[in-house]
Amino acid sequence: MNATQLIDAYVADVAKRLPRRQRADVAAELRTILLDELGDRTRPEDAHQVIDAFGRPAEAAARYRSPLVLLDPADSRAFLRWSLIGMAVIWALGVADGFANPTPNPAATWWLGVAIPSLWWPGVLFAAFALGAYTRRKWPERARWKPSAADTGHLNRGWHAAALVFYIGGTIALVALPWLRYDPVFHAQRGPWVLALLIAHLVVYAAAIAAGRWNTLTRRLDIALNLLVGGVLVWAMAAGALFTERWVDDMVKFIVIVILLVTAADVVQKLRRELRQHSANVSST
Amino acid sequence: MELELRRGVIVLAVLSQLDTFRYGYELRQALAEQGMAIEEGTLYPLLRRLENQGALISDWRTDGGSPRRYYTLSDDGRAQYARLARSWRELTATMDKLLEGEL
Repeated sequence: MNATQLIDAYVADVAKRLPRRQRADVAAELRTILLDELGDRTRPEDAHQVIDAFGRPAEAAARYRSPLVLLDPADSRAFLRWSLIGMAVIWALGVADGFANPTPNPAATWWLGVAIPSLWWPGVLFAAFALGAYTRRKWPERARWKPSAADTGHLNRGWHAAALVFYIGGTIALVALPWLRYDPVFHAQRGPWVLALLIAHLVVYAAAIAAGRWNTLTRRLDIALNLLVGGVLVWAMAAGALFTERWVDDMVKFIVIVILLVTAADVVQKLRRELRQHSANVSST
Repeated sequence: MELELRRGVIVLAVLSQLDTFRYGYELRQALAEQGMAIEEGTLYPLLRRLENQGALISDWRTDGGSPRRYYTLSDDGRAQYARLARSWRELTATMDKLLEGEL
């Protein structure tokens, strides 16, 4: 290729990355600019030198357009952190599943069945961050920083009473619905523990609603019961089947794992708040 | 750091040289001769963006050679240039004082 052909090829590469309406115009201008920069020189190396100064076609094309930022630079670290944490959890659960259900080639099963599909997580996270960035740019007033509401422990009785009724209904359904066929061993040995702790948790919740606020005792009981219920559920799932039908058992276990992960994050937050409160009380006395 | 410092004044430097119609390469040469060398990959797209923002107007002309796109300040561009030049003078006066430790 001679110098002019190189420039023409470069211009074509840049132009195809531009919006159709400005493609021909920018291409014509870019070509004259590159030829001006080339001047009297005719060697292909000279053309390469001129082109190199403009950068890769994608970079050159990007400079002709308004910058497009999908993920705010300020969010990059949070995105990376949550991507890694989420993938680590998915991978660890995959390893645990590999131990529970051994296959002839566990590494390949894990890689193809867990590691590669786990990329959905950073994808979903990216979409969420990009949506957040878009809404902040679109409605900057709504994105203004606001201090978080002071935690007085106050409960909205109406909402929480409705939630309590829902939870009680769910618990009764778990016990009474005739088409839920529990595994006999679970029903006889582990099920009663799970049910007892669920009822205890509902009692604490009802007490907090009756008082209209969380106090130190109900808050700590709530944390302790969350930990206990979590521990017992992990034990109940690890010890064997919960339901007789395999697909029901798998589905329920998956749902319980998701609930446990959300609850774990909630408990960590509540524990940190309790510890903060405790150290504030200690330093003030 | 020096690169970032220079990046902030490129727009003002470009506007200062476009009182009359000039094409990209000619403008780059004029700026370079006066000590303000700007990379080609930065300058030419900047001219386009300034035109899109209404600060410049452009026209394809031949002037005896190959057709080239010539740029000059629009009315809005002139007003913006006057504002930016005033801000620049205030800024340099403040910086002079800061650098001499008088402030």
